[in-house]
Amino acid sequence: MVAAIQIENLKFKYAEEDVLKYINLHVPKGSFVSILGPNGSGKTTLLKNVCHLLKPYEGKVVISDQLVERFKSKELAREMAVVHQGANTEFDFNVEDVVLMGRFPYIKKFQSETLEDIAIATEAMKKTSTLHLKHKTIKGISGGERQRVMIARALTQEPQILLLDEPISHLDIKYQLEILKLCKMLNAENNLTIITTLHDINLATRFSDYIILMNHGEIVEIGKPFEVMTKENIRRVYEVDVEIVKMDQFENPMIVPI
Amino acid sequence: MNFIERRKWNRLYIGILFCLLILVSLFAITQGSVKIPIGDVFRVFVHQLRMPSDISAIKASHIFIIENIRLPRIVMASIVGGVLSIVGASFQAIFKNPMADPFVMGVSSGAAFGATMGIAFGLTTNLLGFGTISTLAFLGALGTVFIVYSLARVGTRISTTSILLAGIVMNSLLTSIISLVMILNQDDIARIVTWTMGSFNAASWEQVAKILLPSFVGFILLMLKSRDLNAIVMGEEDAKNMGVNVELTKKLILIYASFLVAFSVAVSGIIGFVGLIIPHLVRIVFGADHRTLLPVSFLGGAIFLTISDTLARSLVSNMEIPVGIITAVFGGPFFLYLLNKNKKNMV
Amino acid sequence: MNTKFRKLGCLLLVLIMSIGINALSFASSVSPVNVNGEERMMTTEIKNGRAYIATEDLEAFGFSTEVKGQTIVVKNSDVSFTFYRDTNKVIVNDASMTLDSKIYTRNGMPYIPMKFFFETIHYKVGWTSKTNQVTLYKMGDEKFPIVIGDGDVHYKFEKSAKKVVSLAPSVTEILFAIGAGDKIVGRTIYCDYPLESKDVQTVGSLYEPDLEGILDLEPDVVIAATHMNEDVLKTLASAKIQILTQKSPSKINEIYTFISKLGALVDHNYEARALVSTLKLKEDRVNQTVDLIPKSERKTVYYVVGTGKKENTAGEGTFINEVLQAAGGINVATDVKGWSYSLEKLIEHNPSYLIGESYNYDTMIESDNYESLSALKNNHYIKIDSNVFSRPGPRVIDLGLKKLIHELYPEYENQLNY
Repeated sequence: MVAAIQIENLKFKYAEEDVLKYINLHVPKGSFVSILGPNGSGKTTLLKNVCHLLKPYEGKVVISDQLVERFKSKELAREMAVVHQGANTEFDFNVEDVVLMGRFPYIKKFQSETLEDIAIATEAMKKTSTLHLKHKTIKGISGGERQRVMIARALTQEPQILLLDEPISHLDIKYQLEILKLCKMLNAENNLTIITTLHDINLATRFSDYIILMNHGEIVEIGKPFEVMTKENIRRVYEVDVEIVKMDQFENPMIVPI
Repeated sequence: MNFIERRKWNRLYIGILFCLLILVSLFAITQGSVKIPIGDVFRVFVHQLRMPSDISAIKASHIFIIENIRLPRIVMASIVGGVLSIVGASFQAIFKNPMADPFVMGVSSGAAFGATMGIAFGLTTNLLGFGTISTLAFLGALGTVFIVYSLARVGTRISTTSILLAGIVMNSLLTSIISLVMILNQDDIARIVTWTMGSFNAASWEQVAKILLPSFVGFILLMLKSRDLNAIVMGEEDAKNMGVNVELTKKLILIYASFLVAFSVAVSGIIGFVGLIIPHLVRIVFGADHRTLLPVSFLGGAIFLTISDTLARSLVSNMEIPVGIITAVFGGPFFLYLLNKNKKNMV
Repeated sequence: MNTKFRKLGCLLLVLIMSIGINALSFASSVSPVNVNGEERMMTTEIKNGRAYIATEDLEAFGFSTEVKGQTIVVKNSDVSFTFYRDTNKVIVNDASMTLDSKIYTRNGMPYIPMKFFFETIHYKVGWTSKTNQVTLYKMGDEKFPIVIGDGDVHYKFEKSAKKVVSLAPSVTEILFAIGAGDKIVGRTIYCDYPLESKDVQTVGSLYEPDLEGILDLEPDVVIAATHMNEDVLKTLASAKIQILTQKSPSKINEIYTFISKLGALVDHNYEARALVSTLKLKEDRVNQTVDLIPKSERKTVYYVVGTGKKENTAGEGTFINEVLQAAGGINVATDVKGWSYSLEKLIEHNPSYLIGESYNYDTMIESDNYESLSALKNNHYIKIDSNVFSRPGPRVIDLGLKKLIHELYPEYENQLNY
């Protein structure tokens, strides 16, 4: 399978402390991958190494057959979009303006947004059901709506890969589902490779093609959700005993803490 | 209203503000220790445009006052007001903090400090029309920006408390040294004072010529970075992943801003609060998009400082109040209001 | 310049004394006077150390004399002198001033001070020891264009100034003193003497001039001190308004030069020369008086510019220091240059006299810091109007020097004769 992301022997240090220890990873194109693990296991650090916000101490990150550091910043932005945790709302922008910012890597100096750029942004808003918000300001909408706007902005970058850092934490269950369904749909319809860090084990197993389970900066296991999320692995990583319950109305079993 | 329409409207608003600036300027020309009727002002302008106009009834001294004293003064107040506003807006974006301002952060004092050192050590060589003093003012401003920036930065966040503290410390340190230099160099006091006390008393076309091109260039350079600024204020990590070279952009903006501050301080001395009030008000009305924010702030700052300067020279007859006092009277309470509003974000 | 005047003063002293001793009385004598190289016989008299001339001899110079009661008017078509018998008052054209000696008449013939008269009508008055004669030499008239220098800067004036803006109180005082107050169309807010000056429009101050106000007055000349804002100077120049700046004098005789130049500028040459002559004669009297005071009797003085928070005085190199020394005072503050002094030094020097404004006296009296000063204990604080001393104008000599002699050396005061 063609790799969207290939990571070899990635090591990352923060103040002499190994935060990531020799990560090896292969993310196939068009897959939906969740990174799970307790707080401090290195999920977000791994994500930031992938999107080149952090530079590896050792090892390499390859995006679409090219080393990540070889990309010009605008080229990388056209290949990969990232939705980070908690957008800054100190400065009040229109929703439409925020989404249009996603066209940044396509617009040259001395140029302004073209009608095509606006059409792409509108399309992204439609997909994320945020078109009706476009005249509102980013301060004036709910947390779930804001997260969808951020995804719309990422889509406007027309990326092959979408990284999300904790996209559903701090959201009500309704919005959590909405966001993940949206991601799944984008994954399916646009063949978009999605990598997201998540906290909710059940939602992760339900939506992901693959799960990366991390602990102490190492990958404990990678694989299909139920190959990874075994009682034993969960006990090892989260120090919690669980029962895995199969329910008739769901395709996937439920992981219930005892 | 969609994006394209909004852009059209914003252009219209910019046009309206520009007309407002012209109106305010025309009114300002009639004001001063000598009152000149607006009709005379028009006649002089029409005459200047080589169109038929009877100016024989106007006193020669009034024509001179209009053409060579008030007009350059108003043009200069407009440029300096505009420059201080866009610098304030840029600082606020880079620091992602609405309290950032060239005066509050001590950058204006930094420029005055650099110039003072140049004057005190008699460095007055002129290289390609760019004086050593101006260069030192620029370096002083730039140095202060970077000191305040590194003092105020906690990780990637710049806290309001630390930016204000760093600004206070830099301000009092630099102004103390300037005072010391003034005490030790009695002969240079008059020249140093023009760098410290905010006033357009000495405005002339020569001074306008000195600031016009740098301001224009600085404005264009900042405008070219306006989309980058938009992305940066939404979050530096987001901006990086959208293809913005965040570190380079920040450095460039700080350099451009210091350059602009140095030139404005060179012609007008230290004038506070313009860069704080105007971008904030503009943001409330026009939103945070820097492509609109920067030009509208420029015009807003120009209008504000022109009005302030008109008050400065006509409130008390035959006496001039330093314009810095007027802007501080407006700006001080506004600053406190902002501080109170930002209380929750400060810790 | 200074030494020249001093020499002239000494020569005159010798002249006056020798004549005085020879004559031993107030009797008039007809003696030869060298006028432009020719000998002429004139009726002169020495009285109270000054040479007088009978007004009848002035006819030869084109002057008529008219005596009406107490007034004696000597005039020609250009200038008129109005003297008042038995007073030292004189009015030259419209400018009123005082002499160092009184006018008197003997046998119906008025006698007027010779040096003053001839200097006013632009003669150089001297003495030749070869023939023991007074020499009078007519000098050329001031003609436009005139050039007035200030340090390295030279200002050229093509015609006389009709409208003047004065940016220094001393300039205002001088112009009024030479009867040219009506030429002043603008003044600074600090110009407060003479009282008539207050009727003139104000145009801010030297450091913050109201540029528009100045331009609106459409003056021919703006007279300012140096250190004026260069940009303001440039703007005035571009408005075709002439500028005259004058460095603040550090010597008393620099005032004389400046008065003459101002007189030429506003075409009040007679009045200016008359004023300079009276001032020089008075300064001469002061110098003579001081010379009489033995070194041991000289008083130490300290001039209070500011006190309380910080001591400011007139140290070495200041104009006021010159004035103090001219009046025979020993300024204790000459151990500093300029204006800044310290409380400790003041206490250490403990001068016998303090000189300053009365508000400074109040400050000193109210504070414990100055308790040890004997000048305060002995009530030796001389209260003065500091404007008289700080403004280099006629009042420094007319009032300032006189006041100091009066307070410091009252027993010598009658030597002044003014």
